[in-house]
Amino acid sequence: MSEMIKPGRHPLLRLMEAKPATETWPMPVDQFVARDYLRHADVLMTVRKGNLLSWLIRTATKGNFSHAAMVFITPNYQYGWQSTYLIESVFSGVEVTDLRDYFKYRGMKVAIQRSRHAWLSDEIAKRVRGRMLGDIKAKYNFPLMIAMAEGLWFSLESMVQGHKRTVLRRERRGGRASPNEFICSGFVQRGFVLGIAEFIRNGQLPASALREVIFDRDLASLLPKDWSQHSPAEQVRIVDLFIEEFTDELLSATPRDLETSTDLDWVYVMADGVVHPVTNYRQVCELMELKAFPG
Amino acid sequence: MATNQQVADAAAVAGPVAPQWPMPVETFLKGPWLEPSDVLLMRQRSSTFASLVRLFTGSFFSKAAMVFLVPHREKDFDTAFVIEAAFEGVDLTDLNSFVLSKEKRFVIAVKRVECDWFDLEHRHLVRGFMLNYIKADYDYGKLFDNLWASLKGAQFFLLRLVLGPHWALRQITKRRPAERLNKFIGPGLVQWGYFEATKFLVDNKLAPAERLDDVVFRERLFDERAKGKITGFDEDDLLGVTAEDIAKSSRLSWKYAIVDGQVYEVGSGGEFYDLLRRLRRLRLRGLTRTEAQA
Repeated sequence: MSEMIKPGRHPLLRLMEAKPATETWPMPVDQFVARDYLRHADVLMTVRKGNLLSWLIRTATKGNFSHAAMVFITPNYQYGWQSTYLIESVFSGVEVTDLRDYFKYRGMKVAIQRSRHAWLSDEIAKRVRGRMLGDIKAKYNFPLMIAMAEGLWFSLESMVQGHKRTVLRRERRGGRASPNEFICSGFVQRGFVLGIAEFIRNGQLPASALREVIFDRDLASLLPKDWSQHSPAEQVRIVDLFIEEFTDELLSATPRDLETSTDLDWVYVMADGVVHPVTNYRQVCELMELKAFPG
Repeated sequence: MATNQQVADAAAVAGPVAPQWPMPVETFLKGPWLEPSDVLLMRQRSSTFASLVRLFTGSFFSKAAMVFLVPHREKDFDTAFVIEAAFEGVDLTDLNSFVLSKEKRFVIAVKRVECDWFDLEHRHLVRGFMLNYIKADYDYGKLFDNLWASLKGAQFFLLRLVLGPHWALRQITKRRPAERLNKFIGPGLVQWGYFEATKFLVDNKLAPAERLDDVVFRERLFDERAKGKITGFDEDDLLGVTAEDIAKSSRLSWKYAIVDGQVYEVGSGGEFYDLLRRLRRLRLRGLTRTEAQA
């Protein structure tokens, strides 16, 4: 009997945990999310054609994508998970959601990016997303119409003044923060930076790794190009100072910053109920019928 | 003598060491005492709504949740999280928001399934099944859903007053369980998670059918089955499990009481309620003394 109750050994459960022997692409979404194709800290970029909120965010941030989320749990991580779960900043706060739920929305298309840097091991990626769970807070529960009006007002402000400027102004002024659904990519950006910084402080990663997870090129250019001029203690101090001084700027990262980042590779596109493996941005734009940005 | 913090650190490195009780809750949460799938019964002393729920359900507790993850088992997390049913659906919540909140004034009982077969893998399976009920909040449409859920909740609350929890549950909706799990049936979510995960193993011939009996927390169902009134466990009966059912269930052992930032080890329901009475007396005596001194 003790053999019988060892769940991980059962063929049915092995089936849940492993990839099929033969893979056929494009693959149905249900099959894809139940297996271990995605990795911790993969970034999901979404666009929803014909949706007002999605259009507002794309217009305000001048990008092709309106939402960013991070892979939180993959089915191969531990016995018991049956789907791929994401961590994301949405209008009601920071939430964990089932990737399958995305496809309940009509017109939803998702592109998946993965860090191209080999140093982002599973141990580091797990910590990055684990650190983000600490941001789960009590729900705001503000009334329906106020929430929508706040979102509309924010998008108008960012269309006129620019997204980054609007987020920065609100963060610095205090009191009236940016609506969560508008800082989803900033949340992903912040998660990467805070997670990586821990490993830099412990000496497990070089300080130069920080630059490789900052998706806003202007912001990344503020970091030293040659870290060898600084002692290890100075390097850690620079990393800490950078995070302290530029917290608001990190939070103002847009989906377009992630879209145009050279530190993330495009790996999959999920559209019309199936998943396509991709290797470059041009393929993503073709499959998702988007206009490609140069560079 | 080692402090509790030293005990927690030592336990994290070298396995369990005899702890000192009561223990500050911060130390408790860092140590090896809480496990995934532990059941939390909560009584919020500062909420009128929670008082109403207790009044109408005849329960000492107003809320139930389940431990989702603990940092001593998963090092990439800083704190413990619970999974609970709220108005808008099933959600993960930082356990600190309950145990450290001075305003909400929660009294929490920790109960645990301690059968030989219920090992860490099973604990993970239970919480994995519960995560299936988590909801996506992608756009403003969800706000309307929440509004609708709140109205449904209010309707359920009224029906529950008139008809009782089980009939109310039958009346409120005929939809699938995931859509029926809301704030009012939080204990039902805990029960459903345990039952569904174990049933999955039974259905796939990974466990004998008798194991289902170990994870049904409503004692009345066993009596009814013994009398031949029911043959199996009905979905409505399981979702209608109340916090009081869980508190009374002999399938779950009493482990800890969390009161005013301190954690006490308890071995039974009697010990738990005695502890609360003792603490209340001490608090009253302390207040009287403070007033006299003033």
